[in-house]
Amino acid sequence: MSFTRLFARHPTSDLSAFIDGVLPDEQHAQVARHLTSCDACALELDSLRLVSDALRDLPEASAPRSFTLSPNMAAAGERPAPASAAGARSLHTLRLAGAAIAVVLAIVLVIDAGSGGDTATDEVTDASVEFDMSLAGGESAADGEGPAYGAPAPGALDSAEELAPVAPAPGATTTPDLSQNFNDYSGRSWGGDGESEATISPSADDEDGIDTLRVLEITLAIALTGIIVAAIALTMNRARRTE
Amino acid sequence: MDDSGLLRQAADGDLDAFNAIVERYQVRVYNLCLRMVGPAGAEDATQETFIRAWRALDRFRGDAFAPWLLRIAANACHDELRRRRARPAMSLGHAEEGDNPALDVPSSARSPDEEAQSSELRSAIEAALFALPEEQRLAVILCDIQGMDYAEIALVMSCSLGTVKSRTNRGRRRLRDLIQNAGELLPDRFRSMSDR
Repeated sequence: MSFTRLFARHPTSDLSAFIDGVLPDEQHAQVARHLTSCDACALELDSLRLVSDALRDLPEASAPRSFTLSPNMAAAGERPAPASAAGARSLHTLRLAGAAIAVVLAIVLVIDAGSGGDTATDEVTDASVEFDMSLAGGESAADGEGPAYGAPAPGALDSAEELAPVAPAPGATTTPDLSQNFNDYSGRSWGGDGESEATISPSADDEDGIDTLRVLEITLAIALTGIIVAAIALTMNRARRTE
Repeated sequence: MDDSGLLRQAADGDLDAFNAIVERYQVRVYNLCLRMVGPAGAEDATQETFIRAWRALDRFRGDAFAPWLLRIAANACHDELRRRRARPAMSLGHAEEGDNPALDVPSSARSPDEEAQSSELRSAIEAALFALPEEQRLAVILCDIQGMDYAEIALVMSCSLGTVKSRTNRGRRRLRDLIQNAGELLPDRFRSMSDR
């Protein structure tokens, strides 16, 4: 045996495919060449071939009975899998909820768009109160672990203050201080979720309510995304169970 | 009438047409289920396969009906095995515990010695088959017992050709090792294999 062949890679993972004749021509030829000079692989090939032949020799069992379907078995409601029926109801509910949220989201977007350029300098002074009224419970569904709305989270104000150590300059009303807004919201209603708040509360000089629309949009979008993901997962699961 | 004609009629709700398909494929499906779950659950898995196929027939596309049907059968067997794992005391059949009895299959005319030897080998192989991991078992059954090519097996198992190749190879090697462990019970060719 040559030095090269001694250290050549043994094609053990290709031997079954070699037996079945499914290797590409060049690879088949390589394995065949290797087998002429490698006793270990040749023995391995023989043993796998014996196993394959023994399996092919297993006699075929006859069907113990007919498996044709009776009209009752074939009827749609005869043998519904309980989980499948429940899944269908869940999917229907998800579709309705998704459609409803999409409609509301579209309405909110239209209203928001109607507010024109004002959105860039929206008012936020009383926004936190409106959040409490409009979103109680809704955000917790999306977040899952946020504090109850309407009450400050323990320590939230402290942590916010650590993040916003610099106080706004007196009279600096044209350049909003996001850190200050963050503090305001964290202390009143948002708990630890100050980052997203800061991005939607750029100013303290404009009219009421517009930020509420923005938050509503985000919340509805998150809820809609969740429903779409759940519906897709449910559909895929039902398809797998059916087959 | 060929399969495609019957399938079109069955998809339109013709149960007789579908039952004609059942009669054509029931032996094949039953044998797959028999090798996958053993005699105890094979009938139920076979019946479940055809019920699921009837329900899903409107989603069947193309002309590869056998792989589609066997995929349903493989899933039915997987569900049956999963149920057994969930309730081991109730139904972990002898098949998966290693003392698998010879399956009740017809034998050809042979001499008593040949028949005894063949029966021992058959029992050893069947027991070894049930000791394989489920995916390797399915690949080996589809390839060597059902006679499918790798492309069809890939359709049944929803995997790539490379995965089929790997599972078939590992399944055969593991079967070889398990059969070698049964050494003394086996015919000469397998004993000599284990002596190498």
